[in-house]
Amino acid sequence: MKQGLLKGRSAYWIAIFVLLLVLPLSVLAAVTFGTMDLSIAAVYRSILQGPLPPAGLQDPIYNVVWLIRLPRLILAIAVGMGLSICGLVMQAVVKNPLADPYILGVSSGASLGATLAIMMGVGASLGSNFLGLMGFAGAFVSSLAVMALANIGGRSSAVKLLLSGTAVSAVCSAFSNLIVFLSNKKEATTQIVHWTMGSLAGAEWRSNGVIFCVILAGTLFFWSQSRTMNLMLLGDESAITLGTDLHRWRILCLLVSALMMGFAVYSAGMIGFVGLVIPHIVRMLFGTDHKKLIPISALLGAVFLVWADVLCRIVVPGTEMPIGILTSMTGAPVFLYLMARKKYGFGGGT
Amino acid sequence: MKSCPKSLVALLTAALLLSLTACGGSAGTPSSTPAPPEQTPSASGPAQTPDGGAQSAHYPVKVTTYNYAGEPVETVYEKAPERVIAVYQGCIETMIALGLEDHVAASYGLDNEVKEAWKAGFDKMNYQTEPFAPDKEMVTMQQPDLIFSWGSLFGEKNLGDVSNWIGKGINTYMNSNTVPNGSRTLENEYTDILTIGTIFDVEQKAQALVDEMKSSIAQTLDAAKGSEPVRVMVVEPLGDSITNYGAQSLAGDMVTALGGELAVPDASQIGKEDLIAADPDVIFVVYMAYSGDDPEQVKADQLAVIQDDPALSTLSARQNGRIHLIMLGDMYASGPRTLDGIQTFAQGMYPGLAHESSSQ
Repeated sequence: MKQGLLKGRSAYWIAIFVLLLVLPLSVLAAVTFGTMDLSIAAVYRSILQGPLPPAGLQDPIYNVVWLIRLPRLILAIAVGMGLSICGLVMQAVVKNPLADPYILGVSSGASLGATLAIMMGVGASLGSNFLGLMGFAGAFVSSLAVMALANIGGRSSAVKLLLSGTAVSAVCSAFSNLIVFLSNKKEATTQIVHWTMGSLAGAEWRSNGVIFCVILAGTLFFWSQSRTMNLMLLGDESAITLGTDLHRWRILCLLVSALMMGFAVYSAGMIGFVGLVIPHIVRMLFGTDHKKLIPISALLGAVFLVWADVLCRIVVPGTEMPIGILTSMTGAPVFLYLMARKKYGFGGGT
Repeated sequence: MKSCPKSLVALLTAALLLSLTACGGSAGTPSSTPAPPEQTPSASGPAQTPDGGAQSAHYPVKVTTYNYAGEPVETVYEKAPERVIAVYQGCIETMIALGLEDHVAASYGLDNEVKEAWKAGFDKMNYQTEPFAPDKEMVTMQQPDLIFSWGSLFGEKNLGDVSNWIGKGINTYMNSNTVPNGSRTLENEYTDILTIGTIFDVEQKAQALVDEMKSSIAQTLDAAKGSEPVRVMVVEPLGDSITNYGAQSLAGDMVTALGGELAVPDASQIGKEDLIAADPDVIFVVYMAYSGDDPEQVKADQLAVIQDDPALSTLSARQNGRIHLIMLGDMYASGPRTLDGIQTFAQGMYPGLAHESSSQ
């Protein structure tokens, strides 16, 4: 197992402690940013008044703080956590450092679902967020398809998973493109492009609760399985000699992460790069032990997305930038810097 | 090299004619058997100049249009075009509104049904439901003398740039509000109607249409004189994001022309908080019902995004019942529908004013 820049147990516990402190502080700081010119005192007064709307009168400050800013930040935490954990898991499952949460057909499946919803109105009867629901369905179904394909003609392996993921992606994006091409809706094309750039603007408390629970449960599940994921990096042969058959675990991990990604896609569209970069950064700093990687990645992903959402709201005044653009623009340079600084190992035999 | 495509066209024409006769002639609409290019349109020429002016006095007409790069291009018309290909809503409706439906060889690309008053004219325009927009071959086979469409149709993946067509003796006219990188203004819509009027020698009719739009604005401004400028936003909810029509859009120009003030003139994408921060007096919610959509459902869905979100409950436009719907086609490359757009904006911005000019 490779060590990171920061070695030892104490570094790990300090990191956890700092991140646990930084996350709520980030939320409290982030909630003061926005287009509405609200004083910090007014924002905190509103927060202290509690989540119930002030009786009688309509209060714009309450609406902005409790109904617009806070749900977004909570969603940012959940999605940031989910993205980095799923990225980490995918990298272990397919034993490939280039893997991200969307690699095994999730992104193209989600796009196909969204395209069907926008262009052909499929699923419009499911209510106002049918676009997200179709994205969820697309992501989940395509993940299942990838798993099924990889198991045809023998047990799946990391390579077979990657190849079936590529195949399913190609088919899904071809169908999305066909639908876009055949459609006459000019506005809808814009809508699809926007959707794929990701946004947390649709956040609301009702769906937030479910998403948060799913992502948290998934994260805890993976944390409990950190030993299995360490084995995945060693490969099937070593794992068998150590008494673990990775085949079943791989499928289980994929199912759980497909569920988590489905919910992330449902609520925020597609947000690139977080799931790729955060696990790598954490791995560079703390080594490749998943027992450490999972909690730190989860917290760092959450903090990162909270601040990314703040940036995308304030970077161009009066307008809202899709968060996917921002995560890639800020994430990539940090990633490259860390990579250039130190010889970086992915773990296992590599 | 030069003669090669010509003979190819001739061959294809022959093949088409052959297949048509083989099919039994039931599909014998006048336009699907294009006249050979050598034949002069003798009989139809003078009969279709409603203004009755002597042709020689009016033509040749020089008209400036644009290419796909957004650069101006000079075109010359020796006579009124007889075989126009009209593509997309605004272009089709401009032709009908000017009474030029007999000049149209084929039309394509309707997002919404034409207005009731234009139905009769529309029936004469050989509207093709498939494909939505014609490709190079279809346009070539129709042997048009004018392609009248939006800028996007002249992209390299569609018809190719205008110079290719003009080089072949086929004029093009691009709706000015769809010129790539061009400005988006009311003036552009006026210019288009007037220019089409000039091309077909129906200038009086075109002038009347534009005058009606201008007087509708003048009446509104007159009646609203002395009142505070209304702060307006024109927004189109698209999924999670909200598109804002600012000063660079036709909708924004209409609002400003009507004496309104755009609460957010610059941003194109906004969030809910931006809407609360701007808190405009009036909000226009844009809807677009494509064929296959239920228009009432689309309207209700679009309105609900602003009207039913609890986070937006403090918007003064919402509390005062000043959220209105406007159809995209009335405020985007709108052609003769510009009048409807102006009236919808005027009625929403100044609810107290009477609108004698509203004929719809």
